[in-house]
Amino acid sequence: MERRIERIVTAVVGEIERGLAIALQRGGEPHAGQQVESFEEESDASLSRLWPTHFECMIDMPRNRAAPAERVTLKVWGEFERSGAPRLEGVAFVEPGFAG
Amino acid sequence: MSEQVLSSISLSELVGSLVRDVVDADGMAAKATAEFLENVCFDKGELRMLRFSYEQPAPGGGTKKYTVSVPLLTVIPIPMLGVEAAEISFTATIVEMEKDEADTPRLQAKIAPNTALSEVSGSEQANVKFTLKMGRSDMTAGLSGIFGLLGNKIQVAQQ
Repeated sequence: MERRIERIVTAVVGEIERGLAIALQRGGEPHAGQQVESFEEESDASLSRLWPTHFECMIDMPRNRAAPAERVTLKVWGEFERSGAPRLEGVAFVEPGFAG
Repeated sequence: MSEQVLSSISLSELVGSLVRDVVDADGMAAKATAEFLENVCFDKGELRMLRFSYEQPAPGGGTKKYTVSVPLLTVIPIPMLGVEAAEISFTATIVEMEKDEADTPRLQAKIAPNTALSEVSGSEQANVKFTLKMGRSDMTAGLSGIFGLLGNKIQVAQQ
């Protein structure tokens, strides 16, 4: 049970990290000495000041494979570092089926 | 591979595409602000100035005429367009968990109806209700610097 939780939490956090890399790799920071006129040539994403700050996942999964109807719900939450890497802050059991 | 798996995508692509859309929208708004600055506050790369004259009594009698030049940029309100904060929320069903060459677990997911987890439960599959929050800094360092520079650009000249 603990191993299954560890695997799914690791996988979800890993997917979040890869997802952000996909989202931000085509943007990047505005470069030095950039002229106002050159904004027209920039991709929209490179002009954004938005940054992911927090994430929260509610994971609903079978307690074990033999009895899929018995389910547990996990709350997984954390913050993002400036590099975009997610930093896991906590994992907790919540009432099954709780939607947050 | 089942039909269900074929219609799924990796959870990272799902997250990435949604984040990307919000970032793109914010970038478009920033571009609109930049275009406003360029069109209204600059004239072929030169600061557009607001100029006016006034007369003031001179100490020895008569009047003296003065001309004031103020950068338009410091006088008009600038529409700072942008996404202040965003919250991305969706529910996905994990249809497959596999490992890549580096033994890293990868999740294939399908978007589920945005509803309570209890309503999408009931199989061997796991469901994830995902929420990601985004925020922004107030003013760009560039604009702060420009305002600092322009504070010294207000001129009063005697004619």
